[in-house]
Amino acid sequence: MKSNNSLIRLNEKSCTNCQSCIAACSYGALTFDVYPQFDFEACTLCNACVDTCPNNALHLYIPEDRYNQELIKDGDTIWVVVELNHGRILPVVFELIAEANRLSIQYRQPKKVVALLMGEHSEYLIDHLFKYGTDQVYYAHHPRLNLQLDEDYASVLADLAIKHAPSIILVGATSFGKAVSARAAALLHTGLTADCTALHIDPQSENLIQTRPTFGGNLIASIETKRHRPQMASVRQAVMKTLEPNPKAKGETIKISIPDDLLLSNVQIIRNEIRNTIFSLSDAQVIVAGGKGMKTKANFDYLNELASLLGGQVGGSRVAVDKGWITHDKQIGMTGLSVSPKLYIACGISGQIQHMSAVTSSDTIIAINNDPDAPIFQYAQFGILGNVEEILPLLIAELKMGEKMVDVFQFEL
Amino acid sequence: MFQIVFIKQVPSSTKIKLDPVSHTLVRSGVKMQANPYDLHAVMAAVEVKKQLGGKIVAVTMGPPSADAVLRQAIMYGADEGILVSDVLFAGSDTWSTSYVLSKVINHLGKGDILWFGKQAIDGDTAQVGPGVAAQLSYPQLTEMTKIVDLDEVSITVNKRTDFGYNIVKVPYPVVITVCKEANVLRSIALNDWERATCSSIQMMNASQLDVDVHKVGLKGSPTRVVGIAVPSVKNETVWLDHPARLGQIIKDLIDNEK
Amino acid sequence: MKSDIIIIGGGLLGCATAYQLSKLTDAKITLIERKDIASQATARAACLLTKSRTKLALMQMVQETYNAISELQQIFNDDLGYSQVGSITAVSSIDSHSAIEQLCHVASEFGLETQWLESDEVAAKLPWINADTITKALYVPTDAYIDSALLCNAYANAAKLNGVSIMTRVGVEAILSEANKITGVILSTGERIDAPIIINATGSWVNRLMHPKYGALGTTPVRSHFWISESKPDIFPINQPFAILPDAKAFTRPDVGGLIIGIRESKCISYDSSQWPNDIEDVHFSPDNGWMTLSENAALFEKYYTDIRSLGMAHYVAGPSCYTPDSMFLIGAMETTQGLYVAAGCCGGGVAMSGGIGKLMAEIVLGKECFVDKNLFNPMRFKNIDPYSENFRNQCAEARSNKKGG
Ligand SMILES: Cc1cc2nc3c(=O)[nH]c(=O)nc-3n(C[C@H](O)[C@H](O)[C@H](O)COP(=O)(O)OP(=O)(O)OC[C@H]3O[C@@H](n4cnc5c(N)ncnc54)[C@H](O)[C@@H]3O)c2cc1C
Ligand SMILES: Cc1cc2nc3c(=O)[nH]c(=O)nc-3n(C[C@H](O)[C@H](O)[C@H](O)COP(=O)(O)OP(=O)(O)OC[C@H]3O[C@@H](n4cnc5c(N)ncnc54)[C@H](O)[C@@H]3O)c2cc1C
Repeated sequence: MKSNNSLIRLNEKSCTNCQSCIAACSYGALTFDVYPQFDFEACTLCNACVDTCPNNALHLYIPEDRYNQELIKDGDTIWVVVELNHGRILPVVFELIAEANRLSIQYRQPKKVVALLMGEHSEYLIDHLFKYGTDQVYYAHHPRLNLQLDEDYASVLADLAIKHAPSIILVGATSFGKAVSARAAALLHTGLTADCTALHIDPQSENLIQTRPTFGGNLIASIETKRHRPQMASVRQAVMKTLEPNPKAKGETIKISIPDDLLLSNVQIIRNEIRNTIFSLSDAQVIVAGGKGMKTKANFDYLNELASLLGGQVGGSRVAVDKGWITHDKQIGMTGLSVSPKLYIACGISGQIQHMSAVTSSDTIIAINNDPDAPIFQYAQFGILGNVEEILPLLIAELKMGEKMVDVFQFEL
Repeated sequence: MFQIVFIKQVPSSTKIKLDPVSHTLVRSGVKMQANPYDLHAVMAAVEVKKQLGGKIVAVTMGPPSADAVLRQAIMYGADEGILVSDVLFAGSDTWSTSYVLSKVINHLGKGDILWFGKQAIDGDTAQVGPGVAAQLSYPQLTEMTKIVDLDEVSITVNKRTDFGYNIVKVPYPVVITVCKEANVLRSIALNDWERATCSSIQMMNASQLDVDVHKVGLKGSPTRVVGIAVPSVKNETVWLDHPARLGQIIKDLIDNEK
Repeated sequence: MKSDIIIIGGGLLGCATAYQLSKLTDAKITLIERKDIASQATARAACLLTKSRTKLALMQMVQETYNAISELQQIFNDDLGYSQVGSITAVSSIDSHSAIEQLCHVASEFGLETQWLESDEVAAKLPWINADTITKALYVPTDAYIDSALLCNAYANAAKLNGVSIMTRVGVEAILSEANKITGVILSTGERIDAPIIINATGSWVNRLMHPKYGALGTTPVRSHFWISESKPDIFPINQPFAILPDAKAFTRPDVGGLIIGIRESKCISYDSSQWPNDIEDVHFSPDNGWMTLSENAALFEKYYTDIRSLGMAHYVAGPSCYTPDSMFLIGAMETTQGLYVAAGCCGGGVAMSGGIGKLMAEIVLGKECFVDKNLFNPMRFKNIDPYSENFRNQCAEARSNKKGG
């Protein structure tokens, strides 16, 4: 093994010269000469070779640096940052409080669960935080904080975290939460793991192990912040369960007035529009696509209706474009757009490779087709066999029935 | 106007294959490309340059082969490329990457607008833009969907929130991250490719940038990947016999994403 | 499991063979495709169905494709993306005049309707072209293009209607024989299917199941590619004829408002298929997305279209065409082993030739009289070759580099 000084190490005894590590490297950093040889100028330590080795012969070796040796003393609280939308606490906050409680008891010495509430005239929310499992509320108040500007929230969060040294800070992985946590983590010089879907405490090290999807959801990574504190994570909404509310729960509130000079954001909000966010087809979260099986342009009305019910966009196969049912800029496929929505609903599309090569990174594919042998079903997680003209109206009716239900706010305040 | 666009080299497909027998990952060295969101950032910078003039510099941190993504940025309209590359940087996490990139800005002086893609398609973290903003004490506008107004001192944009849109105005310097709907990628012509191919790329390494080597690379990164797994893959299509059942499933999927 | 005939490969050649065979016999036929129908080379074609060819036999083969298409259109009541736009072969050097005249001669002999066009007529049909540079142009009004995937699936589905069983997402691991007679195949699932007749139509992978056990086939994958320009419907009308420009080593075809431009480089790239992944999605055909080739050939193409350098390109499509040193297909029996047949070596014309190749294959397998001279395509005509060697691959690449026409 010629890379002894390097970060990726080979156990020659386990190496079978299968060369799969070489195929795995996207950077041409690996060549083969008796054993795999590394060019560390080209290596990004992306770990693909280590992951791919069928014999576990490669290891990422991390020499521990002196500089990082002194572990910052672990704090004794877990913080949850409270995000508000028009005076209401977002559901994810209650989910995080519950998760903080579950994490707390995994420590040998349980930690206190603290909610950080920012704003003014927000006292009325504090009881809800206690009801759902908070031990203590830090109420940072200043009128400017009601504007919810990234820069201000992040300065306050960083400032208080330096003063009070929490072990963990949890933030909802909302658009705002992710922006604020990323900024705060940079200010605090600590690690942040975005979009976590699971958390636990390692019984040995008592570090927070953060699990998150990566590579467009095709891999699940576990991430640890070894020596930096606080450990920060933004957590996906609606994956953690809330606790049963306890109406009698009470706790301690610490009021902190924030000095003006901490709030220096020069961003000016000119207008705030509350409406369904519209994504372009290339970035849409939900795509309803139609193919030749839709038969007529008029039938595309079903797709438009379905898409608007789901807050999505309509696209189509090449055939749908050729027939003039949709415009060319809505063609999905090898010679059209590539998309990666959360949900892709294919209606009367057979699933030719020229189409599928551009949609396979979708999280979930649902297919409606009347041919059980259509290749689309090889890709679809859910399939329904039948005529689009019959199925779509029923599906739309079903979704309309549920419409009101979906909108009901889960946590009446 | 001095605009800097940060480009990341990412795999052109994030599909992961599993060896059907050994169940290990097959990561056959995929093609690399510029992160698609970042190209929309270049297009946004070009839009600003059209009105206010000045220069657009594309910056990437990566191995020497990452110069290809700088050339891609030049094809879309960047004027120059800077490749930040050093063995010491390998394995940097988002904190360390933001640190190095903020040093690039310090080295260049000051930028008026620093552009990033909304997120990178491999890591999906959306952290580096705000990270650089924090390190430089610049304000940040994430998830821009449209440039609304522009002048010599400030920019007004439409930004996406979880509940709709905000129209926000901020003076330069500023960090902005860009959504795909901000613009439509234009088609590249041979002229663009030839120009990009002839452009020389400036190299920068750790010593030129005055970085603290303890804060970069795998060693200097606060976070560490301690495990990697493949989510349980779908094998069989679940067949549904009634549209109502499909409706329920769709509702569940959508709710989970909210 | 048992079958009378096994066809390996669900690309155009395998599916067309299945269709043509199923029309002529009641034998039990099984087609086995490792991925999906029409998912490999077939999915990347420019789909020109050029009728005029240098050899009469080839024109007969293309005609069979047109016949098959109209049969399939009737069966499924579907146009299959067929578009009869006509074709223009246009040249601008005296050297090329004799070639195009020869082409016209063979076409007339075959009874194909052709027409010489004046340069203003060319300009009217192809608004983007610099007609002044064109000295001679041959128009074939009945030429068409089609959607290769729809055609391939139609062959497969029609075969299915005729009783052929089609297995997808399962590959053939090995061809089995005993005492120089075919006995069956082993599948990737470990299962075995017995059959006395096997047709290998595995395109780029054709040698993998044959060489060295059953002999070497004289073909290798060679890169073919084309660009699709941004949409400019005013100069690239959707119903313009496709164009063949031998002096620019190029062809063009309309594509929803854009122009497909195919360019043959002077030195084509061949691949060692013994090292190939099973899915061409995993082959990196061009690290620079073809720009280098376009750049090298722009000077030639510029004569016909001045703005080629500033024309935005929306897509680049590259894939394997299987060339042989003499640019003729490999269709017929492998003398080494009784019951073993091959249909491969498409030489960039597998869409146009599919109906004919399928028909010829069917006639050979069933011992019927053949509609063209089958000896032209004898799969064992290249002796003592190593199909994976660089030397041999270069011969195949050269065949493509030197090819005239589409
Ligand atoms: C070089 C090249 C590039 C291409 N690029 C693209 C591209 O970018 N994007 C693209 O999409 N295509 C592309 N194609 C075209 C591709 O080959 C296919 O033709 C196309 O994807 C098929 O579209 P489809 O699924 O709508 O039609 P079909 O394949 O005909 O499928 C129609 C499906 O609808 C089903 N169906 C019929 N009636 C009903 C009904 N009443 N209810 C329910 N289901 C029904 C059928 O069972 C069938 O599965 C390209 C082709 C080529 C050659
Ligand atoms: C860029 C480009 C442009 C082209 N333009 C034209 C054109 O304009 N006109 C024209 O006529 N032709 C054109 N062609 C050529 C045409 O695409 C091919 O000739 C045709 O698709 C070849 O079909 P095939 O069946 O031989 O190969 P393929 O489509 O590759 O089919 C072979 C099949 O065999 C399967 N297979 C392989 N090994 C096994 C195994 N062991 N077990 C089971 N299955 C297996 C593969 O999965 C594959 O599906 C073009 C080609 C390219 C690349």
